[in-house]
Amino acid sequence: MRLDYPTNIKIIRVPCTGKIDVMHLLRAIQKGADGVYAVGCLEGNCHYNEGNLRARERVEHVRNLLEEVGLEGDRARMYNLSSGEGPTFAAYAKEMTENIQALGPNPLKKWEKA
Amino acid sequence: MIVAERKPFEEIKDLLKGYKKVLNVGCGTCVAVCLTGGEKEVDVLNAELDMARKLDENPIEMGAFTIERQCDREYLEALDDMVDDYEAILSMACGAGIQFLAERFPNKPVLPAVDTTFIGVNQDVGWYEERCRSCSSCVLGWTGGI
Repeated sequence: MRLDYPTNIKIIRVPCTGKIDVMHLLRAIQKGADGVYAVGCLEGNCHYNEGNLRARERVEHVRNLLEEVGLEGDRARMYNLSSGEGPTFAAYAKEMTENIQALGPNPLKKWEKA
Repeated sequence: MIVAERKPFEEIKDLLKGYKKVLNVGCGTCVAVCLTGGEKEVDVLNAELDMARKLDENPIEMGAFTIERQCDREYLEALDDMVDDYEAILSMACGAGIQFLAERFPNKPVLPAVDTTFIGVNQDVGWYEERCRSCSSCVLGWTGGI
């Protein structure tokens, strides 16, 4: 399977999306990332029962926090797929990139360069 | 335990309007259990303030430190060498902790980041119920605990 997905995405592997903390997502945006998204297993298929459900709640929380500070909540998203769905992974990467391109660059980026 | 809620973000931001360097002090006991003012909540609020102030082109430097209990003098000692570096202190503890902090550092403005709401019990994650009015005259022995 030869699949392409946007090269601007940096993948950080975690054992389960349940490991992702609110601060991991928030810090990414705070440090100038244009967007951040979590890709977890399909709902109902978590090896640890509810890791991906917790991740979804945390992503929702981060979206609210971003809106609260004056940024677009859609800079954070959660996607679900199974480990056998390579084409879906590539499609989500493309979708997220298009979403971020529509939102424009993170206005906090300039502070990190300074 | 004592249950508190974080103040609306805009209110906290407004409280810190005139400051450029603030120490956010969390409390590791009651307000940490009710997910309002523990170490994680301090980090989240600091990140929010940092981002919001940068968006306003008026950056703020936020320090973070969470002590075991703000209502206990021996734990406040850990802050003694720290507070001089900051213009103000933001406290995420209950009213008792905030007052104790203000008493220990009379030369620094101590600002509250949470609203203390009641003494209650933990029914489930994020579900707290008021169970005591701290009336100093307990009659629960006569009322079947109701």
